[in-house]
Amino acid sequence: MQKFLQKDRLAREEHILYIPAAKIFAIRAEQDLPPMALPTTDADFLQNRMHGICVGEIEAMEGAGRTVCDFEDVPWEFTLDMARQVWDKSRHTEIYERLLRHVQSTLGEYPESRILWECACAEDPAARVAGVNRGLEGLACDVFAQLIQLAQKLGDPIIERAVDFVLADEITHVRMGNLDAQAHGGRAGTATNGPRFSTSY
Amino acid sequence: MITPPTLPVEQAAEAHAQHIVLGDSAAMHQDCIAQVRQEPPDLYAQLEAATLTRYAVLGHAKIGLHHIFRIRYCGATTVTLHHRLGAVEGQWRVLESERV
Repeated sequence: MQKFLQKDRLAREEHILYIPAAKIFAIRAEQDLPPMALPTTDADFLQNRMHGICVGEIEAMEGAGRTVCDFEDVPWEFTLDMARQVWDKSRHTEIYERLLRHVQSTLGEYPESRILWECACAEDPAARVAGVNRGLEGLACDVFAQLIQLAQKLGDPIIERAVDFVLADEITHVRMGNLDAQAHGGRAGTATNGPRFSTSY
Repeated sequence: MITPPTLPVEQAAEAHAQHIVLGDSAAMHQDCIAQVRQEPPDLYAQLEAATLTRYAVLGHAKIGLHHIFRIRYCGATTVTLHHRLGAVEGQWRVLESERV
């Protein structure tokens, strides 16, 4: 299997449009809209946000899977963490695909920017977990907490509970990212016995 | 307040695709705003010169109030384009077309 897939080699069904984030921001700016959809500016905020998370979950699943494939000379626990993350992300993808339907949207209704996938293309395993697990998944924890609050305001227990299930996993992914990044010390293939190895599975 | 066009945007996109397949230069240009962004810059000149027999709408995504259509044109050559449509004076107009 080819290792270190190029950024533009991500396979997608043709109805899902890839448009770089900078271009999406520029098109929104042409319409006097902020770069990201907001409840105050976008009537379809909920659908847009759900869609962004759903494609992010797909990219995170692919990124974790590629990480298992790309790095062989790493602690076995790191590989297990990434494999577990593939499993979690595939479950999240299914949850968000169903939530999209719940809010009368569908995969492909908005473009995919692939920001998360680009972070998952880093050539250093520590950089991958720093970018994806610590950075983006940490940010996702805040986004999900806001989504739960919004669902409570809307009186929608389906969104509230589903997102809460996903949030529990995301917190675990951030923790895994912290431990793995510390163990790798920011360099590929130089893992030493650090806090990562005191974790029990 | 922007008045939304009465014609569904999907119909406007398909009409533009038909004009391209038929090589109807006047209609093709009428679908677009005057300064339509083209990538490559001579995209419409290339389309007019091409022999195309059919098209297929592959995808449709929204960015704000704009709509992006991925359309594949087939004939002597095959080309896939993204057309971005937006409401201009109550009509759907092609704002940008690019090869993907």
